[in-house]
Amino acid sequence: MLGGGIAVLLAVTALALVATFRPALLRRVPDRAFLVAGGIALPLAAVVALTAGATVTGGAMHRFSPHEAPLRIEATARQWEWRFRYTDHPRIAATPGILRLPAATDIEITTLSEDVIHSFWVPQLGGKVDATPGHRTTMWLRTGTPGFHEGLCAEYCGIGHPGMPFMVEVMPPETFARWLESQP
Amino acid sequence: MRDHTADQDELERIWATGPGIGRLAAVNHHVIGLRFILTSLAFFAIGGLLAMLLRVQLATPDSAFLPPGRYAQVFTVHGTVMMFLFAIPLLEGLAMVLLPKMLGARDLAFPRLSAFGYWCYLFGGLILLTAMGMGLAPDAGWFLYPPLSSSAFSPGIGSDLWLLGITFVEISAIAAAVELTVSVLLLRAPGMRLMDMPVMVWTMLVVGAMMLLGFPPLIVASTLLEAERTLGVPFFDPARGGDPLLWQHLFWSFGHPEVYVMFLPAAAVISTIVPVFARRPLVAHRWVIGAILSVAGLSFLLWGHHMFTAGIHHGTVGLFSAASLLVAIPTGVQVFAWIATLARANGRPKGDRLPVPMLWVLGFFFTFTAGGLTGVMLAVVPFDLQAHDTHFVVAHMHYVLLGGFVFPMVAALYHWLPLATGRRPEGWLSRAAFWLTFLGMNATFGVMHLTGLLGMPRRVASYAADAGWTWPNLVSSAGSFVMAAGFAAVFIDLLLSTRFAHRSPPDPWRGATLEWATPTLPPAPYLFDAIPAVKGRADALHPRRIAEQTARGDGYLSLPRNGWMETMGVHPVTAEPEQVILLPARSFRPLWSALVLAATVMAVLAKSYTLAAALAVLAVAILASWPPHPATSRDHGSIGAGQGTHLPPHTEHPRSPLVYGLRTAIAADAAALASLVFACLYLTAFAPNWDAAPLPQIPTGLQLVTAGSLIGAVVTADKALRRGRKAMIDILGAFTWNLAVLLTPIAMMQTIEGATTHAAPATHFALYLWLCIHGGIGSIIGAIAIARRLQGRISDARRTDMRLLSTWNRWQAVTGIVVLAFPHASLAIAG
Repeated sequence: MLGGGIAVLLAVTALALVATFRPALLRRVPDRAFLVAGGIALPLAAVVALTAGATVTGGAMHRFSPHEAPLRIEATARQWEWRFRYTDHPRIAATPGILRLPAATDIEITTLSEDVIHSFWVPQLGGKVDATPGHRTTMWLRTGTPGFHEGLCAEYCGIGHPGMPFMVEVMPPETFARWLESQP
Repeated sequence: MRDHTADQDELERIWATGPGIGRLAAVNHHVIGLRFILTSLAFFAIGGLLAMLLRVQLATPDSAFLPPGRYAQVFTVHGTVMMFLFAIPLLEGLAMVLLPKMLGARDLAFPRLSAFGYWCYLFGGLILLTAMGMGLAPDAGWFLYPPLSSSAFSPGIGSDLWLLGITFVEISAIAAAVELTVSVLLLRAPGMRLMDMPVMVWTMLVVGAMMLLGFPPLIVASTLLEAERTLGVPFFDPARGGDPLLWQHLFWSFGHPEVYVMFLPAAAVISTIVPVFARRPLVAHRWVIGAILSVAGLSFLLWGHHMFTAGIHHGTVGLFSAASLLVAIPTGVQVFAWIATLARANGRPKGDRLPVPMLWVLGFFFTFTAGGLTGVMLAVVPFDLQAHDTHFVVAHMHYVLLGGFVFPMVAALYHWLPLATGRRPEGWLSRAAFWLTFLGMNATFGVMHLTGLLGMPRRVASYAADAGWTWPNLVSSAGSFVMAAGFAAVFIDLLLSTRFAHRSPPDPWRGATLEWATPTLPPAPYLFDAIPAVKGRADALHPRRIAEQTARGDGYLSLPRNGWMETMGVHPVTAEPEQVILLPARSFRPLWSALVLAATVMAVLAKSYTLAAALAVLAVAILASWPPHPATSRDHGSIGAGQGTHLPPHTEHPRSPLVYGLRTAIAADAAALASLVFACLYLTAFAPNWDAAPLPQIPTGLQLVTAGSLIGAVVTADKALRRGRKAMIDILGAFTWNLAVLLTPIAMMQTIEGATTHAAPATHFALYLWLCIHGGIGSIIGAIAIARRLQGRISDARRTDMRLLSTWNRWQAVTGIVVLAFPHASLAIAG
């Protein structure tokens, strides 16, 4: 997408410069050709390609494997902190600032807010979703290999906004299961 | 031969703006338009300085230059100033200066309204700036999302300042929109048919309509949020049946059309300058007009692309995404029409350097295309979910706004400066200023795409040294200082050129539109010695030839009479001459009206609501007291208009600009009603805590009385219109019915309990208040008609006041039915 964008940018700029300084080179191109090829065909092709691409990727982001039940997480934001609960393990206390996840698993994140609008974002794991007071908003992501990722709040939420990062620890599934068991 | 110089002297005397303190009474489009432009440029400088503070803060990690609270104020005010106090007013000013000249009119349709709009803008802006100077500025971001902006999380007056100040400026924008729309429809040179209008004029018509329909949602949203903050009436508080997402819908259904309200005039500047440079009319004129209309239509369908991460429905997101992508097509058509026009250039003298405006146009091609492409990328949902709220978006929108708006506007300033100063800047400084700005801009925002892709969210006051964002931020900050130096050089260049540049001959660029058809630069305040008739496309004219013709008195309305300021009124479609439009003389009332309104706003800010109410009544009284034209005192019949035609003055014509003005204002009012009803229905259907809603029960009798009054007002006002001079009884009747429409909603509001505890009664309260205000406006129009009748300003020929009354009451009946139907609709939805 980026490469295509840069190519179009350079082509349009070059065309504008040629038309300004060396119009003779373009004298034989009919008006209609400019309008139909450049004004309609080119953007239309880009739009179709991008929509198709987005539908495939977006569909995948919407839900990964419909057969397997995802691990459900409740992410609650407030000024200026994130806390995470495991929806299906209500006895486990909420963990502030750290989210432990098993590797290679579908995760369903539901965001809530206790005060203003925040936005849940772990850049390396996927898109973001707002935490709006009064609403429960859901997004899906899939964890990869074990490791640490930084998460942050993406929506401006007051002066403490830069100060609500959190850590995502992706563990091997067995380690995660043991950790889950060990919780009081 | 007649003595034309004496006529010119007389015209000059009639149209001149007074000296000294009299300048404050100015209503002339040229004077007011220049004031808009100069004030907006001052705000641009202020917004730019704020941006430099931000860049200093971000230049290094963990910077302590601005504490987080101050940083939030600075980025909020930077965005607010640039959007509301710079961009929109600049294009309004440009439109005001250019439009009458391009139309072949002597002024705009409602000169006093322009002046009023200017004062509202100035005072609104000053209120906001003073507050920032005092450290009280809003700090919740320029789109002021609740609940962060609600009283619970922003207890100071910062948000109130934003809401009231911006509403004040929006009123000015609506005034300008009415002005531009009616002027294009009625005040064109005879013979300039719709499809012959230059692209700039088409754009002003479309942009006027977009402002009328696109700005009211923000006024409604701001009013509701301010009501929640000051009176505790909930609309956005999720705990009390409100919904913060409602603000986002209303804000962006304003915010996205607004982007194209800025871009379309900028594109029209390109569509005007490129053909002048290429010495040939624009290629594919009709395609371009079609593209403008398509962009305008699409712009109302894509507000949701600001909300992809808000958790709105998946399918809806897809529609918003597709609509956003489709904008690429009409925009592509425009870009390639410009390229084709350049490629068909009818040569230019060898060795001639590229004129300065063209330099900015070429800068536009690059930066705007880049901004457009990143816009296409952001419209793709999966990409947006990553890039949203990061510096990538900041980079994108600055490419679009600087490349797509500011660059063309600078081109416009250079291109049309001779109209204002009679001089033509063209020196090494003009070129240096361009290159500094262009390179600085690309350095600042080019690298910022990368900063965003590296994961840096927007609006963070500081970042850690190990985040990997240090060097791109440093590059952006360095670039921003180069860009600032470039804009400073533009300012200095323009300022110096008003004194030292070469005097410009008339029509210095060999243009092809009517604004250059004046014998002198700057033009006389009455613009045209005679109003020219045009034939064929109005962007393919010979201004010098037309100037010679009109200087000979060959045209319409060349002979001054009765000290009247006259311009031609034509049929909106065919452009046949129909009426002589008499314009109002200079007046201090616009200034007084705006001053009292500003005092009202300040009283609300000081929480002295009784004083505010008293001042509001005073403001309405002053607004209602703007004097009618002296010509309304008697019938004139057909008067000579030149070229052998005899036409009635507008006071005796059914298509009076006042009637068109009211209809246009009603369009904006309808958009406001639609926004309000949308808000009420949205909360009913989607608000998180609506279930326990106590729905108010309005007594059926009261509803019937209101419905009867609405119908009574329509019937009597129509009767008054039919009966003309003998209509006194009917006008009194209509006035009384309107009073009833004012009073019955008050009784309804009194039956509502718990308007501060839940949004359900609050929505009902808002709708009845809406109806009450409309009854009030109807009563004022009725009272004015009574006064005019008593002063002998109404006759069988002069029926404008009854036309206004009838038009208003018909619309009022529609709003009334909607308001009365709402409880039943909400029951159906909630039940």
